[in-house]
Amino acid sequence: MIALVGNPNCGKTVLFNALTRGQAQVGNYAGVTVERKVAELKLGSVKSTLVDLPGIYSLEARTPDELITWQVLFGERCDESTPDLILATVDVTQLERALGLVLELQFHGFPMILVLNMMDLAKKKHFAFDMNLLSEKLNIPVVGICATQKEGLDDLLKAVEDFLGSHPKQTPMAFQPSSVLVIRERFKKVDALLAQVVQKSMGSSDISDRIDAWILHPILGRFILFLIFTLVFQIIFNGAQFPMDGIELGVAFLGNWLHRILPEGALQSLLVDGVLVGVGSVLVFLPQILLLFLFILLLEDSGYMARAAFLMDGLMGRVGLNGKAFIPLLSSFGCAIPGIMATRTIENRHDRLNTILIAPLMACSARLPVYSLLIAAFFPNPVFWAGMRLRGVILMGLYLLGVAGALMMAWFFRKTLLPGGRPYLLMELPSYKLPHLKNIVLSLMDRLRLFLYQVGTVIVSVSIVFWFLVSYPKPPLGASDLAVTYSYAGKLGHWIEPLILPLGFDWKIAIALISGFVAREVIIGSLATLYAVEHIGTSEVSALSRILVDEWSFATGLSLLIWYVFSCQCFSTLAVTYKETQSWKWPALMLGYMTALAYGGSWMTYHFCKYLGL
Amino acid sequence: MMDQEWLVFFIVAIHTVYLMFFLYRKKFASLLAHWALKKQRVKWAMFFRSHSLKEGSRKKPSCH
Repeated sequence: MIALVGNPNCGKTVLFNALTRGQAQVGNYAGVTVERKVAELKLGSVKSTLVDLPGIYSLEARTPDELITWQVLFGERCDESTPDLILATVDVTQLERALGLVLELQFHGFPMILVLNMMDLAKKKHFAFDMNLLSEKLNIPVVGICATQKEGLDDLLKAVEDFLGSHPKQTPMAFQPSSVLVIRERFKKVDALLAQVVQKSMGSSDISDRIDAWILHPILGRFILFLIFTLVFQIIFNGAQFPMDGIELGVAFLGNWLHRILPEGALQSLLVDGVLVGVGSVLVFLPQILLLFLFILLLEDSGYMARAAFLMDGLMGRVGLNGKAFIPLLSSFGCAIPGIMATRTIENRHDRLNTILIAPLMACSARLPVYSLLIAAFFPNPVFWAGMRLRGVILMGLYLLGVAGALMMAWFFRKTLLPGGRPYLLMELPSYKLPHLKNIVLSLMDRLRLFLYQVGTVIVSVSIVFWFLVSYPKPPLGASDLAVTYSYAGKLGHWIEPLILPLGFDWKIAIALISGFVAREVIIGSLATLYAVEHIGTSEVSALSRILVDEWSFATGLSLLIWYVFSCQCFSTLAVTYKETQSWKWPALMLGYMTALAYGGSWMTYHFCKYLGL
Repeated sequence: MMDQEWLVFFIVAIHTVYLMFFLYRKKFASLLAHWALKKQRVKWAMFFRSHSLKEGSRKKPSCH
């Protein structure tokens, strides 16, 4: 087994992807990898295993993700022995800090090759190296590469082959913690070493520092942050319209075609009202979801997201959130599950639990279709201000409402269940880079694959089962009410209705909300199926918005929007919370407080709208 | 018409089973891991456990 070890954000995962043709998630900030990733590595005719590990600054594990690296290095995982070779990966622009870890690994007797990554940045910053001297001084092979450009990989693979062919397996010594004196001595040695092997030309200017003078400005920086996110939400809402119309047209065409070729009956209704309407109504929001991920990836890859964390630290610190919580919370805008897993980078248990508990309040991509449907149904889209349209502004407002709720709850948990001092942020700001097109395309393809997999499996199944529940049993002869009223779903909805009536929701919304527990966006498919079964002949997706406006009041629509901002309707989020906390107490608390927040928020919204006569 | 309804019921039944499996897959994997350990199949137990809710536990794996 060959392990990739190094500081966070030194390009280990990019190297892992380049060597194995993998598609592991990468980002231009520390703490993207929180789990070990394994892939096969071909070395000539021999096959080996390459392991990508979470970044560490030293061998002393303080966070759950660092513990994973420690366990793999010292053979503490029951299905693995110690690595045959370590590829100690180093960002050449951060050599002082990185070589401290290399010396610590060497002290423990790990077989190692030093991989100097980001050689392209070294050239731009006018660094000059004597790699032979570095190799001689450290007594290990040294290879210079640029993982993003796939430069130097052949040399690296050859060095790995030579090393494994000429060295018998070495077992490292047991872990020995380093005293302060030892650490000081180690860094003195690093300074002496660098003085001999590295030269930096005088007068070189760093463009990242110049950009940061504007981006990190206390007032201007926050204004730029606000401007960027306003623009992102405008583009998500208004820029995706054309491809969305195309998908809608395709679904409607397929529906008409199925209507023509299938004889009228249960099978036709199942395929058209159940599967096609259910799946099509979710599929139509794919362009918006991809746009959201595109912007998140662009901002991450450029190095801006770490700056956004820095700018938000003051506000987050005031409500008792650790600065390191920003990245997990940001990931939760995509999906709460990787967000909750990313909290492994937070050392303090109370800080970590606080972040886990509020992560699902960040609006995930599954909420986006629900927001889009309801905003498009109940709000017009005039120009609001400076070319910005109203729907985009409302969409951003809903995201901000989720963030405000999260900050409020973080403050509440800090004052009650999870006390602690004000946490301080210590994080490195990566250099600005032009986003790497291939990484962006690969990540988007991965998101597309996941979305289509979800649509093709869970959403198809829920649509089919839901169609059955709204279609059977058939109404008795001479029945006067709508057929859906007599169905299993109708009966269940009527049973739940008294609970949610104060929120302005009827029995149809009740059953759609229950189906949404499997995946949030399923509610759209369920509503579409429900109304398609009820209103025969309105199986096109676009009809749903029109039906909602006819059937619901504005107060009900807004109340449901607020419900979706705060509610925890996702089994997977609760399961991953259990997995990360190893206790049912925390997922139960998460479900309880979020449901209470959603209920209270919806109740107030509905009654306030009614008071205003809306 | 009745044949069509039987086909529809069959499709619904398959998808209900799939959804039950999807919702309880981690619990199911836990049960299989437990069974595999009882039968001394450590590799199978590790495989099933990696798909169960216990994966990610900071406790040492029990096969040590």
